[in-house]
Amino acid sequence: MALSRRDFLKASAAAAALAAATGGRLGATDVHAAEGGIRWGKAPCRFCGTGCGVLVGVKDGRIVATKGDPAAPVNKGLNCIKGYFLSKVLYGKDRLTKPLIRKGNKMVEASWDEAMDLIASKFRESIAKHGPDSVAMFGSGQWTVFEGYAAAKLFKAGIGTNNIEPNARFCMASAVTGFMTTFNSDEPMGCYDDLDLGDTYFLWGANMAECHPVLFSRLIDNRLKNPKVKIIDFGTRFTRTSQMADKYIRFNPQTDLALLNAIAHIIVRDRLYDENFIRKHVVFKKGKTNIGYGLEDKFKFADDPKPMTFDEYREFLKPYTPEYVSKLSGVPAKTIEEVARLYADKSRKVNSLWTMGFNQHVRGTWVNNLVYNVHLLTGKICKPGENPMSLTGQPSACGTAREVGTFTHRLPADMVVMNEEHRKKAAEIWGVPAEKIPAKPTYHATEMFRALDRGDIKVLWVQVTNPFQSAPNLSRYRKGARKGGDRFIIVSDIYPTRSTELADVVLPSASWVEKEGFFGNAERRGQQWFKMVEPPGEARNDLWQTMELARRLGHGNLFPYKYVEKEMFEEYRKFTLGQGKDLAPYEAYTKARGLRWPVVNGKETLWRYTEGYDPYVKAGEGVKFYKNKPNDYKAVIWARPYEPAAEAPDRQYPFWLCTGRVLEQWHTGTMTGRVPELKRAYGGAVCEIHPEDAKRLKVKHGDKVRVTSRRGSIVLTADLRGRGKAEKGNVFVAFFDENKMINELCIDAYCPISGEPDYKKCAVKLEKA
Amino acid sequence: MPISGVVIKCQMERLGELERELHRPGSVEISNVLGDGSLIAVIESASLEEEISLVKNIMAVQGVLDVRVAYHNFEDQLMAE
Repeated sequence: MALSRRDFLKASAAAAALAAATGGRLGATDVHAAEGGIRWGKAPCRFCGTGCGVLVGVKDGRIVATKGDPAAPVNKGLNCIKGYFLSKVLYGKDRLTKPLIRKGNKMVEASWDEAMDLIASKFRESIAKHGPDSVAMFGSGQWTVFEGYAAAKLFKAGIGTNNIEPNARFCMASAVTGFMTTFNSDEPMGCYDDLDLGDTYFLWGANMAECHPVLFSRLIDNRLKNPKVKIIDFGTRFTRTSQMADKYIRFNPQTDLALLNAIAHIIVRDRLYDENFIRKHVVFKKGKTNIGYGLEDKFKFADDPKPMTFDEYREFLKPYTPEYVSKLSGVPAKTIEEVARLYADKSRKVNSLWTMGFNQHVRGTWVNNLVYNVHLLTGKICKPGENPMSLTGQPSACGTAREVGTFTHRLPADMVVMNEEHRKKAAEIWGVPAEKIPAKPTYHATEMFRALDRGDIKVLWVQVTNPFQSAPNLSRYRKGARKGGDRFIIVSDIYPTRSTELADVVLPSASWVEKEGFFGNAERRGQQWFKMVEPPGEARNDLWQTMELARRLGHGNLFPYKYVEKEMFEEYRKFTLGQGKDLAPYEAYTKARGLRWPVVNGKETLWRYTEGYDPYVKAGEGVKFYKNKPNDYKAVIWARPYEPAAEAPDRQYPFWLCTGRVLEQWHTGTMTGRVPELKRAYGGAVCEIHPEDAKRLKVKHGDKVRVTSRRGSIVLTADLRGRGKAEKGNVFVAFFDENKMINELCIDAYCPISGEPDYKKCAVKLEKA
Repeated sequence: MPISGVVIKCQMERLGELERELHRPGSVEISNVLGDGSLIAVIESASLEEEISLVKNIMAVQGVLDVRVAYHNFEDQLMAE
């Protein structure tokens, strides 16, 4: 019987699913012959920081199919539901295809030459009149490594300003400062293999089932195979993750600080710690307290670390009794005791996983430190199946923002501008005088938008992100952007957004497989892909745009490459070699499904700091925190107290507001919002309210409710039956909706150490609208 | 008409029931039942919207732990556009 093409495609679909589910043991591959005319190429997924491998099928110059990449170790041939939207997001009807220049209130089409001439003239004028710190670049963890590297090099080594920041400051800067203060090197010691090898998983402020579904699936698979596996979800909102966890522990917002200290209190009180590990690998420190919230413009903070003894640390922990912390957190003392014992149980392989609940926190650095404390006390770290692991929300938050170092204070490979030796090394690789790179960081993201509002920054170029929807206390910064004077804003994007509407020039960009790229995921895995389709119209990639500005400003010599991506990567790689962050030659990534650094002699590293896995740890050393030279190669246990949120509910504003993501819509919805099917599935932000609170307010499911903070007010539909369930006294609103910009209500308080704002906690009132 | 191949992870004790409950010739066709609690299904629909709706409905069924996508072909739909 002759089969139709459709029958063949159905057979391909079934075979691919069967092959992925059985690790290739079952499932025919010869059906691929039926997919005549489809050319397949590999790429990491465009969405979150998981870094799933995707095979992209191209026919007649368009993407017509996608598959989970069976050769990709991250996802082993299976993608989450977002796999359905991957290609569709490139084909929205309103893709930007021509440069646009503001003429009065209108945006008028222009040539690339006109647009780039105008941009270059504004940069030149501003630098001449106000100095290099009057121009700035705001990028993202969605920049490819090349794009981020080119921007950092142009600004730091060409223009001579540290005015460059990524939106990663809004999502994982606290994870960076947590790693840096505890281990003196960014990024995790563990990897995703820990999801398969451990048996006890504590999730803190992470809705993995919706935001990192493929990783959560690995946890669920592990639990199906191993009855010992427990998943414990600490949260302030009941989610799909909570529903699937073995235990959901609700706690009052901000009290994670106290809970982690209580867990440490019990471990120390009952001598459940690993004395040998502590003696060999740990030092104790304390820093400043009552450190503020960064609410004032130009807020400055510098910690003053002091050494302490284990006995002094024990004293510090004394007040954090389970009973005291129970009153603060709402978690029963008995549960705190049980959790501490699970963490310390020598027969258990314990992991902690977290995302924005920890990072978007006015004490984000501290809470990262505190979870490391628990792992360091128990010695459950740097071992296969036993690690703390910070997850990321963007595809190259690690690879680009953190590793390339597109923050105001950073240089590639853990180096910082404040260090003279680091500046010298960077200048040597970049071929510029060392004095060209300024020694002082300028503005972190929130301060950058404050500086634009004040007029200290005149020219701002935004690439691959949408800050005029995603910044906290949004109204101030949106108004600031259009205050006029010498202010000039350029936005590069693939669609019109709430940021392009404020721009003076809009540049149409290429996205994902419309260009060659490289992302680095949350487990230190670098992944390369080739260009597979042409971008629409005159859209061009952001890398070209940045280099074109460089050329027009007279800094073209910084980018002397022929095969730009490969040669730029090889130059960048020089920063990493010998630093414990070694990247492989570019060629290796074109073939591999990613490699986890440090890659030494062609071999990737699964567990950092660990003998037998990390080539920097010598035989007999066991574990060595070799990046932490200032602390004698030991990790730091920090005494960090509980301190309250910047703003808490009161009589006038009696509810906590928490913001976040939902499965169907990613970040500010600029891509997923273009998929009409998704728009219908989860088209507008809603306000999740606890049924008892709703009853008291006489609000029913589907009613309109006005949500008001001290900074703004919006009307939303009340949701009492959604997947996520707000706890009493809390409301949750997703931030993707460009017509209901919840970030107007958020406070722009931030962690004084990381500069990351707290999008999870501010006070609001609710009224039936 | 998009076609996708998915793996539906189920609670082991409900696997047999779910195989029967989810199978809908012409839209959700269960092709294999695996010993680890997975169902292999081909999803066929008139539009991406319907496809996503089918997947979300499957995810909401009691006993379904997760749905993951292995293959997605939508060439017909692109041609129609």
